[in-house]
Amino acid sequence: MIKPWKILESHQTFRDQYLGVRTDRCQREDGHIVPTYHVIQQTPWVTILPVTGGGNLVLVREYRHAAGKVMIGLPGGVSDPGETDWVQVAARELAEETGYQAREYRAIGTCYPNPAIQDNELHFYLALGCFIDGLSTIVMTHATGLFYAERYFQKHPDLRPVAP
Amino acid sequence: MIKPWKQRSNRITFEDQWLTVRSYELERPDGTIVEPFHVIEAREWVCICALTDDGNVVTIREFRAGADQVTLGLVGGGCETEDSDTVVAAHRELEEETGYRVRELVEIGRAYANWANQNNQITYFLGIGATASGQQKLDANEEIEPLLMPYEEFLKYDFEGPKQTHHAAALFYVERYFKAHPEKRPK
Repeated sequence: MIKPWKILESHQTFRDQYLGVRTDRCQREDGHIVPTYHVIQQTPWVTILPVTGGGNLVLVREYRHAAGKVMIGLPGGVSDPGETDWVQVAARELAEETGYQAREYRAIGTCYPNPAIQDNELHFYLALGCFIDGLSTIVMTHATGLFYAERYFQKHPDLRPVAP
Repeated sequence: MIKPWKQRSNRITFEDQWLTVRSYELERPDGTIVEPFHVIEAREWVCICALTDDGNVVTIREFRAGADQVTLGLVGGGCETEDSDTVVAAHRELEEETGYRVRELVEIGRAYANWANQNNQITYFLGIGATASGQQKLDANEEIEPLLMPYEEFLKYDFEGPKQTHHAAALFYVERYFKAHPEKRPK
């Protein structure tokens, strides 16, 4: 049976306002020492699946420097340190990134983006009844969010958006 | 219309055998300077949803230090320099981590692990006809327990314990594949 590792030593290898790297020396249950294990420190993330009354997803086009490309994806962002009201984060990010507001939010899934080396969780919210005047929307994918949205719509078919 | 940002300079902020962080000075089309912008450099990853003919998924239990918890999830890992492509890497990771081999491996999707600040993509595979016919071969710092779980159960993705974004994405791609190829879905 796999057991958590014991942290023998831990130090802050890198830290600025954007990124933290903590480096641990760990011991496994069987005594094996893992000498150097880097953990990337991030505050929790929130990703939103904003659905309009007309059955469209509200997506964002953004330059993503790690990919080096302009990408289409779901709105979302990073929480501030200490923040735990994910609906508030979702509403803020949706408004900041798209100008849209939602009638209501439903939590549809939470997971780790990368539990191997990154310590934060990602919260997915379905935003229902999104509205704004004068913007058109486009439809595309963000695979995990779609998985959770589909699972939610299967349990709540009445909420599934239908094209008019 | 959104345009790519211009790269003015970059430097390695941190590097050892496990992790590389490159920090950029960027210029947006409107002239705004964004500095520093950290990018974690990583190799291509693979993620494999391997199914047995009787409808089980090959999952693994592992301690994940980022989450600081023992996790249950799908098989995956980074491509090694000696892997000629992601298919080779997926076969290798599956056998090394679980001792399972598959009759057929289908690429079902590819997406960025985290396009904001990490430069690699994940290739998602569906493994068909998995059997425990290989040999588990773990790295010194790996400790992995394979276990079978009914696919339909795993698909609910509501078991006790932490969840992994890429594994939920893998389920999305697997279900999309089965919708297009219903005859491949295990009975």
